[in-house]
Amino acid sequence: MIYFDNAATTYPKPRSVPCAVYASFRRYGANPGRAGHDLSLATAEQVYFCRKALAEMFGAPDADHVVFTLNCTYALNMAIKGLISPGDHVVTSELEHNAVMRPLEELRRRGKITYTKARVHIGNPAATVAEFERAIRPETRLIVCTHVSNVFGVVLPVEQIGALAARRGLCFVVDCAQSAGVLPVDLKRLRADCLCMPGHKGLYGPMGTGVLICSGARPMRTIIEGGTGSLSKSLDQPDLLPDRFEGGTINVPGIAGLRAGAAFVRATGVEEIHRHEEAVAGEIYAGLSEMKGIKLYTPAPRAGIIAPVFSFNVDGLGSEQTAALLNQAGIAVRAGLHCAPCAHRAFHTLETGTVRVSPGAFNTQRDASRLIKSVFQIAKSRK
Amino acid sequence: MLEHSNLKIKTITQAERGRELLRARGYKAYIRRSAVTPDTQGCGYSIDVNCAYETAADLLGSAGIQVLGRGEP
Repeated sequence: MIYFDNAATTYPKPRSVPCAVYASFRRYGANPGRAGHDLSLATAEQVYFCRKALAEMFGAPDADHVVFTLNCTYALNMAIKGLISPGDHVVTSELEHNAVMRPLEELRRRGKITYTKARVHIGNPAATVAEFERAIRPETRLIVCTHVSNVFGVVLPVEQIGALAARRGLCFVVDCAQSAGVLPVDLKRLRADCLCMPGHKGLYGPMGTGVLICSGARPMRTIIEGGTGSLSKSLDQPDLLPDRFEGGTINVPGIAGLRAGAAFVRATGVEEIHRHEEAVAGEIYAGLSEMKGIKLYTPAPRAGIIAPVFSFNVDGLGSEQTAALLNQAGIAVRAGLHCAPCAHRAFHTLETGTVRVSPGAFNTQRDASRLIKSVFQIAKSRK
Repeated sequence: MLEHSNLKIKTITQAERGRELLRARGYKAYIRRSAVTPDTQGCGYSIDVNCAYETAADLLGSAGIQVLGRGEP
């Protein structure tokens, strides 16, 4: 199977990842941070190494500021709900995934907050930032937005948005689901309170891992409380990172795999991964743009404007039908709404969905040629 | 005579960080579980190190690691 669904999860993983997961079952099978025996301490050390690696990768003050979660959605929920209070207003973008929109909408429905979606202007950072600024009200407390749209690859000017948030004294949370491991992401440079990312996409770790990187500059409420193996006489959740947000046993095998995945990304180089994915995505885009009966929705992938993720449709064919035909041809893509109805609404594709192409580090130019050929056959058969 | 001390730390992650710092300075440092006693806040970890308590505590403190107090080496 030719896999172009890396925006959902990366596949395949580097060989080191399943090896690390297996090794953790064999050698680091104790619960870290709970006991004093050698196996627990050895396991805790492995977990620490992963925290440290991610802290260095993403500009966290230190390993304490790296919190492991189940996935990016959990990290976003913790960040959003941890930073806001009843009566607050939140500014977000019109391109968000439901991992941002559903928590906001649920809070709005319960009468806790209001929110505004700012329009995004492709390739015009100043105009996008102006939209965000226009949306700010006296009661605005938080800006939360995606770095890269998971459907259309649009890159938001998060550094400038972070500067806006800092100027206005607002919290800033960035959804790095599609950018971590592909674009430069740095907590300090973005002036973010929190970076939220999955371990299983651009970091090539296993599913069941996510990362919340906190600046620690502002107090954050918890949404989950539980055992941490620390300060356990108290019934209060510890106020120290990362324990504050890691109630319960963490996913040690997943974290072991995530450490190996992150090491792969660092060794390969984020810039090199981006260059490669942009080349593959660019070739596919160029091939599709020359075909009759294919609708594309954005400019071609280009650094700083469109990340290596884009959507298309075949005229006269539903997006799921196209994906099904591609599946028969041995090609994996994702169709439909991609858990991002707001993004589709912004691009007027809510009623049709789109077919999304998202290359990864292991896709080749040959994969790109096969996809182009298959789409050509599908489009031709529609005439 | 070589000094040995034990520093009580709040969390395993801070203990890991502290151990790494001390080892980087050339000390031998090991993590162990702290005893739960009437004057502790419950479970936690401590670092055994072959230097004076004050030396280690200052080093860890400068790195933002909270030292809860002296334990039994």
